[in-house]
Amino acid sequence: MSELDLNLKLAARRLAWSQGFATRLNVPLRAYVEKKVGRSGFQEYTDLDVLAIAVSGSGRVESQIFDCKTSRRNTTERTFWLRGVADFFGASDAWMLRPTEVTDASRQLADRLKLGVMTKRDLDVLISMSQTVAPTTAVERLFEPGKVMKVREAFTSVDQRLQKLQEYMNYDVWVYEPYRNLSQMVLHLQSAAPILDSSSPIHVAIVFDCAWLYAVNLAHAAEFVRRTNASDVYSSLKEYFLGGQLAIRQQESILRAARSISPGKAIMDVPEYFDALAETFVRLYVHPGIFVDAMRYCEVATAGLVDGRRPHLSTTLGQQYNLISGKLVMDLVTFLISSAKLSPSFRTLVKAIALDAPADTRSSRFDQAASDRTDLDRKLEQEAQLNFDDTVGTSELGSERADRSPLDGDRCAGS
Amino acid sequence: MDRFSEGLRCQDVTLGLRDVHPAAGQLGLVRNIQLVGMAADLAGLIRGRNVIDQVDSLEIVAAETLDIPIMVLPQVLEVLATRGMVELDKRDGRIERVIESVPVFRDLYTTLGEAWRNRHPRQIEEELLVVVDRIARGPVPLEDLTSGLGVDPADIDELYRLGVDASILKTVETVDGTVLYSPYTAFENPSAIRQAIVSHGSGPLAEAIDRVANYQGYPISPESEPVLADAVGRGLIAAPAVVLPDGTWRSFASLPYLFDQSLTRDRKAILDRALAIVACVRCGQHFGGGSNTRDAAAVLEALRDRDHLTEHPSHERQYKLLRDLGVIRFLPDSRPGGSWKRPSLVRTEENIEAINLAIVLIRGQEPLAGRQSDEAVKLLLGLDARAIKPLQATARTRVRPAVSNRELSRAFDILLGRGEL
Repeated sequence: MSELDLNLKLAARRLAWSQGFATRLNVPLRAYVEKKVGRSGFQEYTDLDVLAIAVSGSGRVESQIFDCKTSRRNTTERTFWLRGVADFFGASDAWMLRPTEVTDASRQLADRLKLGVMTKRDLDVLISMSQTVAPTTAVERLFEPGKVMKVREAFTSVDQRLQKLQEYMNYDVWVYEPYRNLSQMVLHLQSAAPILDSSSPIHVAIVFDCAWLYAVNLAHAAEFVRRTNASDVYSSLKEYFLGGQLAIRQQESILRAARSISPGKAIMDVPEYFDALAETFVRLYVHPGIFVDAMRYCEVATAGLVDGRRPHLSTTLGQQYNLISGKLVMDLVTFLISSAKLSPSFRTLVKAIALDAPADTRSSRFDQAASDRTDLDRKLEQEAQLNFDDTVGTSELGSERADRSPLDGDRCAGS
Repeated sequence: MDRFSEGLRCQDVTLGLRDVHPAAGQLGLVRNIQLVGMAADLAGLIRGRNVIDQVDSLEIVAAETLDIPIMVLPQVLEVLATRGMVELDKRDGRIERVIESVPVFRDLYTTLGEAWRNRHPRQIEEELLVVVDRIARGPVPLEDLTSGLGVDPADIDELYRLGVDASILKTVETVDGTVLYSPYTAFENPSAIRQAIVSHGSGPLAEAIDRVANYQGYPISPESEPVLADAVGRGLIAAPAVVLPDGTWRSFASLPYLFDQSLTRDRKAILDRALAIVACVRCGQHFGGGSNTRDAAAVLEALRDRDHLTEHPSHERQYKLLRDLGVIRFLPDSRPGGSWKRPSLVRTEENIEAINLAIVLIRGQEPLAGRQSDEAVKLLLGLDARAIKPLQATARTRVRPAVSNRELSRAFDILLGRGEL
């Protein structure tokens, strides 16, 4: 990924974020192929430079993809390519972003192919039209090349024992049918549970990133439930989870056979965490907009954690924070933690991040530094934030209870 | 009793105890029931709220709409917290925020029944729930409490006084002794119990009522069910009549147990329609003419969820009562030259509620309607407490009974050293 490409990608991300989308960079798409000597078991088709996801008022999952290249060559051919990628991925919208110019032919072609074409200048105009609230420092982190590279490096250099989970998060989650991800994510996290350590900010960030991916798949499930049986959420979710009526019949026949082989054993048609999944799902389902809120909060939390900050979303997101969304992020991550049997201390952290829990409910060592200073007035805390983090220095992470605008960075740094 | 019934009956008893003065000494005997019953009420109030950071609003709304005293609310919340239904954020011991996770699909009452069991209830509490659960199925002679239900004879007096004071038990005096029945059993005319008992004896009447309670829409013929036919004739039990294929009439008796008492008073029209619906589909089940209905509840679900039922030669006869009550209308036969009818639900709010109630009754379940706060009350939780305070003045229209004279004199006797030692 060249530095120039990255700047374009981040500009696209800023546009999508300002339009209310949750975003993800560099999403690879690959296929499984037969394993042979000297050849891995998959081949990559391409990757999406920027993927943006939102849920419409009617509950439809909408996605935009952005192709961001600094090269001016082959824009016409690339337009045809982008149409194919958009169709392959099922994207609702696709944009070709170039730094300075595109050919007139590609602009006309884009219109014929129902795509968007823009230069950086077009993009700036669109951002100024859609950005109604100035991003807070925590959100700005999503658009800073250095910070974004840091997330990428942190995730790629993570403990080798987490590689399988990483492979799933980076690749397989986009290959599997969305309904399969409702169980696959839990299974992959279960396998990683002995390694995931709540005192590692990167590991906590990974859990938040898993929640981002899970929220996308729950949004697909919600779309299915709304379309097929909106009033019977439990049954409809179960049907989706099991892969539809045909798959249910197939599984029932397998279960019958299994029960006849081991008659005394209770073999369930859904995993034991399904009821908890349904309880979590229905809370999100009744608020369609919450899916995207949850993903955006997870994005901010992930970037903050990798940057060595403990992001308290209620303060770092400023006026974009919604208490109910924060609670539902906590519910979503809590479901993953409990169903995958991760350490319960993850839950304490997630609560502190998503809901900014009052001090005396915090107990983990991760939060010790924060609870030591909870008597400080919030305003004082904001003023003294940087100094304080440096002085305390006892927790593995700093804290981000108070947010700074990009403009007061120098004052804080110098104070 | 199973845990579900225990949770459910805790709520029934607690509803009755609302009329007992909070300072009444009797309440100490049923502390666990009351806490769990209040927890059931509160769970229904906050379910789906996710986060309540205006705890003072919760205090006021819970006090005003559920009669949960502000001082008791933390204990009630702790009951929910022990079952993972809420998480309480505290500062200096004071609850600052309630994070709600009351289950939507998982059964609330079984969980609360377990909570009640884990509190190691007193013997008298267990006995009270057993009695309340028993009378939910029909009247029972007082003397049967010890022999039939295993209540300790030493507890009978206390149980009786508590039940009657709290209006959990209704009584009727007969020549055979006192008969207990539930205020939630939807008798058409409770005063007719006495005459029915005089005519048939309390035992046969209780047995007959038990049959109806276990099978709502019970078909009654005077020959095979003389006791029930008489009870219907005296107006004790509702039993709408439907025309059979041979042109005669048959009554179908129902006796629901209704926590939502408004269904027996100002919203009785909905209950009447529900019982008529039950009678009509039971008629199809037992006296269908050409063919009997196999699954009465499925027919009602189809009537509710689809535009209409398919045509059938018996529909006009079988559903005429519902047409007359405005529950359905008949659509003409869709086949050329056909003369059968297709019943179609008249989609009013009342009719939909009636059909849902009928489905629950046909399935042999207990209606849970009215056990949760309505949406308007839930919305109050989002308000600042300062905005709610005026409600305290306007909403207190219910007459709160003072401590009964008997209770007061008993307490004074004990204080003055004249009580039983």
